[in-house]
Amino acid sequence: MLALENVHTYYGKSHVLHGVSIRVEAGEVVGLLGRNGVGKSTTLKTIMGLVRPSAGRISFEGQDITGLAPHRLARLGIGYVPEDRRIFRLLTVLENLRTGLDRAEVTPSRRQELLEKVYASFPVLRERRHQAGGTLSGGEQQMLAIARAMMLEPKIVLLDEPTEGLMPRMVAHIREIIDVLHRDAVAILLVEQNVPLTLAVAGRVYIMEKGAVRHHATATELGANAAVIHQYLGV
Amino acid sequence: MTADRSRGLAAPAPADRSGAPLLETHGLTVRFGGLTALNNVSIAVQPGEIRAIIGPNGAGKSTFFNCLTGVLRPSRGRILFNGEDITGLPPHQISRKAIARSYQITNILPGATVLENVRIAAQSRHHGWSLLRHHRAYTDVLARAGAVLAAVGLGDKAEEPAANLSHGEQRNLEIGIALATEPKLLCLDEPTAGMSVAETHATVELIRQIAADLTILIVEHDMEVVMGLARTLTVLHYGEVLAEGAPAEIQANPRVQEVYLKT
Repeated sequence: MLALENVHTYYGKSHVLHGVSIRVEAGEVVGLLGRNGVGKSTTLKTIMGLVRPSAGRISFEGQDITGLAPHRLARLGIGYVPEDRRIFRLLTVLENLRTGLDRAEVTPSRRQELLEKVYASFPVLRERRHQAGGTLSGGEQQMLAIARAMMLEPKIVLLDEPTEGLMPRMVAHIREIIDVLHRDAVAILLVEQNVPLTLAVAGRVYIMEKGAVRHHATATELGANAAVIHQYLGV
Repeated sequence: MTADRSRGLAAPAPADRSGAPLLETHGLTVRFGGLTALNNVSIAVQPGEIRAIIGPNGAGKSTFFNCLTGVLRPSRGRILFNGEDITGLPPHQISRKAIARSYQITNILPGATVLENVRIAAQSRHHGWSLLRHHRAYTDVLARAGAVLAAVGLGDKAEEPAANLSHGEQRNLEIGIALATEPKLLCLDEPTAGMSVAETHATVELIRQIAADLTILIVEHDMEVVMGLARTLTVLHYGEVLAEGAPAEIQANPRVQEVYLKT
């Protein structure tokens, strides 16, 4: 469904991605692990058209999407939840959700259905729907960011470290949300540093180091390979 | 110590503090509103040591560097450098105490030549007016800048505009700019971030060479770099010292692995 082939990305002169190739099939949850600064977020930003790769090809459902603008990728069905969440802090929860919902092609009844669906998954967002986004806790903001991405009815969601800085209780909640998306057949590319969470929700996992994919395995294989986990993620 | 550092290349001879740490923090604590970013951090770094500060995201590594370099004033605790209390001094005074920091985000002047970048930093050791009056001081500065460029492997690029350097060379120039201020303590903030494998190896070698006359604190996520350089590691987690020891001890510490793998 989503394929990166030998993608190279630079920030100015800094060569950040060195030929990254990653595939995500329809409905699949794929993990992307690695330490800080290895290129995980840059991989997502490159997919999402926020940085243009200098070489390589990105395709989505067979179509070449390399270099397409973010709004066009969103319309194709690629949702993105950045690491810093980027919720509108002064808008209410409902207004935040409507930024993804108020599209010409969505009928009023369908809008209500989509809202009800995310409220069912995130009851706290219904409770707080008239509250400013900036007043939510970190975990609630993360939920809002994911819920807002779901308003676009994406076929795939790119999640950038959704559990970073969250308490264990919230991490467990994010895991449930990923499971809900998976049950709805939404594919997920999950960037994480939380190894247990990633192994629990992902089918396959890529591990990056220094801008390149260094290891690729099923979550089950990786879970049994403590040496590899230690090499790329431990101390 | 308030030695006159306005002339000469060599650092003034230190008072006899043999066996004493170059840098000590005592109970260093930083609060941002309700968030405690650093909690009671006490470390001691010996002269000549390369000390790595590691820890997952949000562990307090940058906050720690920010306190040492005067960017942040700690809420509580003390920082002693060469036995002198430097807690809360502003960055320019910290720099005069011979503590330098190389940043993750590059600080170079892209339009100036490589030599000029280093020379401007070297001049910060000298008073402007005396520079104009004393030719000797200027030749000293040039000699210092040339020596620094050689040390960071940019001797043959001295006349190039800094903008023409590769990313890796720019990062090494950044280290050169810090070195030109004649530090006793050099704080390196992710010196190999964004570097290729080959550039990383070259920078590790460079750090090893300059470390002969320096004390170095290094924050870095690349464990190969950390383990290859540091004799002692301090692991921060949620703003506290979780562990401290030699690389092998830290690698064998189950608490440290837990924190990194979030198990």
